[in-house]
Amino acid sequence: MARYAAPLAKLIDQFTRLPGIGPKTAQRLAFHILKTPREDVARLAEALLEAKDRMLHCSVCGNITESDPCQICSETARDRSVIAVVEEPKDVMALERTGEFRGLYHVLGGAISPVDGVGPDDIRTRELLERLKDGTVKEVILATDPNIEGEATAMYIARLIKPLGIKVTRIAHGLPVGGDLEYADEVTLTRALEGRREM
Amino acid sequence: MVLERLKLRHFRNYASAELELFPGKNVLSGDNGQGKTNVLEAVYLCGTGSSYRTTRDADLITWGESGFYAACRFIRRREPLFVEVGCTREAGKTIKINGVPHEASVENICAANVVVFGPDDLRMIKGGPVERRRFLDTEIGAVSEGYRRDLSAYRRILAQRNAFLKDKRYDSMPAARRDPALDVWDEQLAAAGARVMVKRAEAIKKLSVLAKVAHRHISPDGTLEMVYRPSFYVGMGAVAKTRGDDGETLRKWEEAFRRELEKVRPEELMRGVTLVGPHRDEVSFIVDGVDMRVFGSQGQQRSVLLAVRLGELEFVKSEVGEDAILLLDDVSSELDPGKRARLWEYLNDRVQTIITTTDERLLGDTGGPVKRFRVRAGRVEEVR
Repeated sequence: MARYAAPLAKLIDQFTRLPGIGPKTAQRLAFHILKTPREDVARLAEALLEAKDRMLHCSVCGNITESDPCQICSETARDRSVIAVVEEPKDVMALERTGEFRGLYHVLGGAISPVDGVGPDDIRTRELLERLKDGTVKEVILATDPNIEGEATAMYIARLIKPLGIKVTRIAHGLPVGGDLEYADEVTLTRALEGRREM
Repeated sequence: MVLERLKLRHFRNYASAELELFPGKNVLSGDNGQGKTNVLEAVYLCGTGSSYRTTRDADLITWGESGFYAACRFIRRREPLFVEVGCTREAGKTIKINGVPHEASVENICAANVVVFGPDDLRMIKGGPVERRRFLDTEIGAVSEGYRRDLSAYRRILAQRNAFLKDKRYDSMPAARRDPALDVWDEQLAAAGARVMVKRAEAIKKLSVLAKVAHRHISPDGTLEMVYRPSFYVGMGAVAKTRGDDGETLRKWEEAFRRELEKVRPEELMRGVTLVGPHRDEVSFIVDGVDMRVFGSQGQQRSVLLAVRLGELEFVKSEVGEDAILLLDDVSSELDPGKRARLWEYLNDRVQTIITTTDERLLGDTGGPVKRFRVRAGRVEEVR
């Protein structure tokens, strides 16, 4: 059986290591790179290294940033009495896109997941408690993912914060806006019922 | 549901085969190892999306071939239902329903269509509790999507909790710091576990009544009862009183589960594994007060299993609103002549049945018309 020459095989192997990319996609990407003009490939390689070298974690909120503290943490117009706790930097971007949230963030860098060896001390919970000490923060919004690990993380943080007398809230789970009630699954509907509000 | 037509290609020992089935009883006879059970397996595969004899789809491909194809034309609720299952060694399994590709990862494609009774069933009584839980899960899962979801959530939480209990880092941690981190798993485990247990209690109660009726018919000398035995004490009559998943019942089970977790926590931390919950549930088959797993003779155990399968048939009908197809694998060796005669009488031609046997004479008078097939070395022929 013929095999790919070493440089190509190496490239395919590197692509396979990326999340969400299987052997077939890796192959397609590798062949695409071979067809691409050299200067474009150089730009890609440069972008990879530049992102890796110049991005760092904000020492306050843990978000990825080019400057420390990050842009959001240094913005004076932000409401410093509210912190939204999220798992990943991409969640910050999701909340920012709403344009509705004007508070600060705290990026945990993951969720509690014993299966993956991630305990409460492996995500940035201590840093969060540290930020709450000076009394400026009046509310913590727990915006971790609505799955088993995200739920465990939210419950855990709620337990840590409650004794401090700071208001702790959890983002609502429920029906997607613009969707039909009849198409919602049982779990979502149950959650939506639990989270109903008076009108 | 009724199976009208079955088509096989490179499936097990069949290079190719086509069968037109009769809505009543169909008898496949032939010597051992000729491929009778493979036909039943193909019907089960098309009816549920997976085999009951293997978890590896590639096992179904004829030796030396690259893939198999199995297709069944069913009539379900008076509408045609055409299910095609294909599998290649490279690409894996694909399922098409009425020509439209269907997610092969979904366990039950059209759910609760086929009930099978055969020699393998004996492990349900003789084997460990895992076998009985598997039976319950397939059974309830086939008629309730909610159950499948609750069960998979429970398993995921359980895996997380067990990983926590095994993690050495927490051994030296003071309880005040360790406990809150474990509490969050207890809370979720109890909520999901209670949903699973309530559904199990409810299903077993129904199934027990239905199996009792069937058992009385087949084996008049004993009363069968199926008893749910959760891994912890739920409270006076809670199992018996369980009715639907109304909030009240669910809350009671959840509280009981949580109390139990609290009680066993020191031992769980020491042993590094979750000791209570639906993953430790057990079901007993009792005839006249005697546990069949321990004290039943092989003959008694077989009657119980057949009764449970017939109960399953009724259960499916009450939940889905239509009879499933009954597959009886090698009943002549499984049941004595008296029980066989009473089985035919019980079935009374209202359910489509596919029966395999080494010799049709062993079946006795099956009552009513029968369509006969002869199976020899991977070929099926209708006997006229």
